[in-house]
Amino acid sequence: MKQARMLAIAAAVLGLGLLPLALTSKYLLHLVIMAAIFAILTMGLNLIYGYVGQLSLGHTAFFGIGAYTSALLALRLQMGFGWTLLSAAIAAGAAGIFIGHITLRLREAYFVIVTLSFSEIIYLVAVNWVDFTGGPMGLPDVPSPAGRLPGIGAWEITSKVSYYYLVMAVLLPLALIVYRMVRSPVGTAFVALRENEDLATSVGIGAYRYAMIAFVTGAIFAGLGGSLYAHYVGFISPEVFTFHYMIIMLVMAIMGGLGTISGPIVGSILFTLIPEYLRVAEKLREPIFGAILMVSIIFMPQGIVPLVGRLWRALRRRPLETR
Amino acid sequence: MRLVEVQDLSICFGGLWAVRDLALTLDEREILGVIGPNGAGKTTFFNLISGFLKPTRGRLLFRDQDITGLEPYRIAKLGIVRTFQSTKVFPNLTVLQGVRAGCHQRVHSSWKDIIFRSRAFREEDRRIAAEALALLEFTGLAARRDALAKDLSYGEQRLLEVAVALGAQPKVLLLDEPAAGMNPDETNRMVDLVTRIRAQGIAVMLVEHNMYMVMGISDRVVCLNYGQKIAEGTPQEIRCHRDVVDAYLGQGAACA
Repeated sequence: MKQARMLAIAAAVLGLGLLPLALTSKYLLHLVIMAAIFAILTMGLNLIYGYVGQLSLGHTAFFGIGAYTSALLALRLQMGFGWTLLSAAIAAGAAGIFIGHITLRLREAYFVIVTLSFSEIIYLVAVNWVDFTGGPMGLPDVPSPAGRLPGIGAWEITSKVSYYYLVMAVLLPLALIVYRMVRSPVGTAFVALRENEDLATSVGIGAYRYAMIAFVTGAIFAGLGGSLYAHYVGFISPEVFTFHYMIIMLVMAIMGGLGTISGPIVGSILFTLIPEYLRVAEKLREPIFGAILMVSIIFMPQGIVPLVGRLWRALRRRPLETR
Repeated sequence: MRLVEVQDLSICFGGLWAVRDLALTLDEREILGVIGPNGAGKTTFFNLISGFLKPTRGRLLFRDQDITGLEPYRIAKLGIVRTFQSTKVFPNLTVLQGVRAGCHQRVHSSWKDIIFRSRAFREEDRRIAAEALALLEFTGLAARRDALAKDLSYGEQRLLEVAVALGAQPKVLLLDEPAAGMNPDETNRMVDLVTRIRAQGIAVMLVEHNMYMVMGISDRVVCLNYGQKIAEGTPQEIRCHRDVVDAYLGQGAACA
């Protein structure tokens, strides 16, 4: 059993490692990289929304803070990539603590509204503080990841293939962290709060503390995703703070499967690829996408991953697994 | 030994004193019944002790430590754990997962243990899984371990609530109408369960309308009316107490 699992993990890592060789088109590789960046963002959102059950519409704020922190440090201070990535995580995490402290005593609609307002405020700052953020024109020419390592010397990531490996080097450890966090008493506490906060409180689970852990971890993920995005695309504007990105992340998280480990990743891949393939339909693209969303929400409100899981268990006639 | 001491506890909701100048004590290994007509303040009293409401005045002592105004989860950590009058379970968790959530305080792993899956973490995880299973045996739910809490019958859900509460290793267990809506058979199971809980060294405060249960297992009974204590004594004394008979039990109640 354990060997089978090790083998599966080895096969998956090998598959991911060889994927760029199999993807002959640069465009497809680009989509995979974007999907991986969105997977990082969505995994973070899933912690607070899927597990703790609080819908945060402030996730774009942390994404944007990460992107701007990285871009500004690279452009203004010529910092190496290692430092900009780390700073993005710290800045987003610090913002997460600040906003979490204000909002996590609120619940449901109030929490949703205040987190939304927060990203709107940050958006307005990015648009209007022209000297610092470049205003609506954004920040062009964000350098690709580069730095200097002792022993190796200067390095720079220029090709899409090497960027793919870089994103994977961030995504996979984060996925492992989520996996272990969720399958631990911390994850159980998250879910207990989602299922019944009063009951969770009555057995000694501190709601504020655990919501904060999920919220700040999610913010750090978003900051890392923002940094990777800024260096990859090379241009950022206040658009990164807009509701547009929030909707994309929500669709990915919900359709992938809230409160599941692989849901955000599956959702990110599908909902990066589907809109692109719909380009053939040109004008009908958006309506078709909308229709797909509606049909999926009606027929699989819990998302793809739980549905596949149920089918799989039904096929093998195995009882529901417990942790 | 004295476990809980309630001193002059009062709470006022917009001019109405839901609990007023309430004083009582709970000793170790004691079962204290709390009775009274609907609206007498029994559940409010439980909400006060468990920290879900903050008293307007008065003090709560647990093992001589002042716990007045502490957050509910802190009071739970100290060892006063409650159940709810309206059944509360984790609907989409299995019975076993729910009890494991209840065992939250038994976890001592650090975040490093959790992220790196240290040996200490794995051992603790196995130990808690075993303890949660033992609690399911204790409450008679072991056969239902993999069922979702929302799929349990009402009686089973009430047992699950107790199992989840026991997961938190209470010194004092507050049961809010555990036998409400139960048939005689289920009531007997609950009576037996509460008796065995006390045998484990846990003190119990019991709000209950089922007189067969309260009078049968309580060491002492307190009767509330309009937020105030009108009587206190052994079940026998309470049954014959004039004020209790007038306010609650009614003239027809047997007083032997």
